[in-house]
Amino acid sequence: MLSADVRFTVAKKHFAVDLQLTEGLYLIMGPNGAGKTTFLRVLLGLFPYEGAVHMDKPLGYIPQHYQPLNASVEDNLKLFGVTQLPSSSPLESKRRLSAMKLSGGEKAMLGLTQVMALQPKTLLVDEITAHLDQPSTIMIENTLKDYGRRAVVLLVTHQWDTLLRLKVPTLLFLNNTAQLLPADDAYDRLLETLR
Amino acid sequence: MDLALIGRTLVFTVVTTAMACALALVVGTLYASFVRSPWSHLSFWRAISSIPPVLVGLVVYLLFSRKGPLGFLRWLFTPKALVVAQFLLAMPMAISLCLQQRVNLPRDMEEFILVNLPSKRIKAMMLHLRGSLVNIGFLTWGRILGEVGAATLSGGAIVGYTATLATEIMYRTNLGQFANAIAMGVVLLLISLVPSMVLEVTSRAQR
Amino acid sequence: MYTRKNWVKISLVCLVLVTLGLTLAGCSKPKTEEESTGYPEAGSKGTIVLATTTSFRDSGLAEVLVKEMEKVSGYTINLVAQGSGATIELLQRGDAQVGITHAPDLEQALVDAGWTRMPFMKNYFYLVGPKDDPAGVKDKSLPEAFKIIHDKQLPFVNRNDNSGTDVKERNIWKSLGLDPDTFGSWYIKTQAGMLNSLQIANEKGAYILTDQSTWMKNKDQLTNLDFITTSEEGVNIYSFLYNDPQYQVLADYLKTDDARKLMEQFFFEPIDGE
Repeated sequence: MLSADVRFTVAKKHFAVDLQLTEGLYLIMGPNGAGKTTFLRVLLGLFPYEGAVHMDKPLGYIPQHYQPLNASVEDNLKLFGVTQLPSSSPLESKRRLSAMKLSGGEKAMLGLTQVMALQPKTLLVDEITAHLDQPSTIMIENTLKDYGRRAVVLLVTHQWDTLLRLKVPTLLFLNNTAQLLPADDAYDRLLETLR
Repeated sequence: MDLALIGRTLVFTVVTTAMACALALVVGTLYASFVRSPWSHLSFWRAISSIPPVLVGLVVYLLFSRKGPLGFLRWLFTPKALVVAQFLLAMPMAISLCLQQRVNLPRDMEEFILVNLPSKRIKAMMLHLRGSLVNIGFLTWGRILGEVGAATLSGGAIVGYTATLATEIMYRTNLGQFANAIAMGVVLLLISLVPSMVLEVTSRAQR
Repeated sequence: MYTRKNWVKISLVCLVLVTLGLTLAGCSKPKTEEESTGYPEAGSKGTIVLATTTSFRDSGLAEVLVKEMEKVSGYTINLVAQGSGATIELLQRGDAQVGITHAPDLEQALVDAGWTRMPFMKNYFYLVGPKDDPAGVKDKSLPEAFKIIHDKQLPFVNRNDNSGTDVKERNIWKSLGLDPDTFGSWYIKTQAGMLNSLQIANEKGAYILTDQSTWMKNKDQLTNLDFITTSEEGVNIYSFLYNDPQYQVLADYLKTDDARKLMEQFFFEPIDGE
């Protein structure tokens, strides 16, 4: 359960958002600089706002510029209490390598694995799939959708094809407003911005 | 060429420098892990680490002189004061390099740790710093190794007791004992380069 | 276990180093010979610091005298060398217990404070210069030679570092009523040690005031230079300084025949009497 009734100002734009969300995966979309990342930070209390936010703990958060710590993959995981990886995980073969040497996609997987190990009831993910190849992107989308069955998952993304595949309700940031729309409506609105 | 002298001086230099560096690394790691906003501390420690070494030596002398506040320890002109001086030279550098490492972590990641693992913040930082400790160690090693001014003022450069390779090179050169001086110069060069060469080789092997 | 293993490794290495270091530091200076000569047992009387100037230490005689003094007295003597001024400071502050200096003006301050000053040897400052002596000052007194060199504006190297040699040289200029700060480019100010400055004078074919012992030890390599002259104005008196009677034994050693022989070997002249 996530409920947020907030007003905040960023780059001279005022936003007012009022949401009540139950378990599930929700996308947050909109053009660059529209306020998406800021909204996440508001939810986390990292950005000033007026109003009230309630989220079920534990929280999980993957920021836009996630980067592993300068240690081995194994140590990065241990920090989060992960001692064993499923053998299907692409990280398994790279356990002892320095995490800094992973590819962009592998780093994203690492971050996701770490955060999900905490079994958060609210999971906030900021543009994790931006630099991933198709297979990885799809795998992550599915993982998050699946996880949405037990938690509130918010995924900020730029990628319209994600919306097409997942077809989940989307919080659309457009022209200083934020609206929670069903998938199709959100997509139509996005198309309109092309004209 | 007096091999025994060179050998003893080498051992003494390596041990004292290593002690000072190790202590500096510990302080640097702990400091950089605990501090809440590394960005504001970074420029301060950077400035401090460019204090001329000989000034540090003077401060150590005044501290440990019999008329000074720590004179009762009787550490002046003993290896103890020398290591203190070396440590004071290495510490600001270690702190600023550790802080730099932490600052290299995007602000996002600070928030990542804060939100996901608030109770393990310090442990996470220490883990992150651990990877660069070896490099930082070598940098502080280099800063201390060739230093003459502070070493002389704090330890007295007493032959056979507090003389390092650097102070001995100066002394033997002044005495006209060029063979000894050059030999020690070569040794000094080796011990300043060998650690980084070893690191280069081992890290290549890892790839 | 991986994380912990690494920290364990690192802290173990640190621990080993610290222990090694403390053991090394805890050892007193290594003593070499067994004494069965009637002298006190080596190192039995504790450790003291003897402060002296870098130039005296660089002559090589300091280390030798200190070794003998240790044997004779049973003290462990740590030799610390800095400038003349610093040496006096160390003695006044108690960081050194005894000293050997050669700056009578500065030593006066200690004497006034009750220290004992025992002159025990001397040497002379030499004027050395180009072999062909363009100034023609061979066998003149130092002040006369300086005046002629100044008037002829021939190259002259000065150490400009407040060392004993530098101070002595400036005093001679002062006695002539001349101010070295007004000299032209013929007056070359290095900021180097004695040997280094001699080498510069050698390169440039210049005159330079040097201490006797550095000259005697190194003149063979200074092929362009030759001894020109010296006189009483160039005398350099070395004194032993102490204010605790227990160190009298060290002062006494410096008056012995063995000590005198060593001084002569290093081109110093022992002084008799007070």
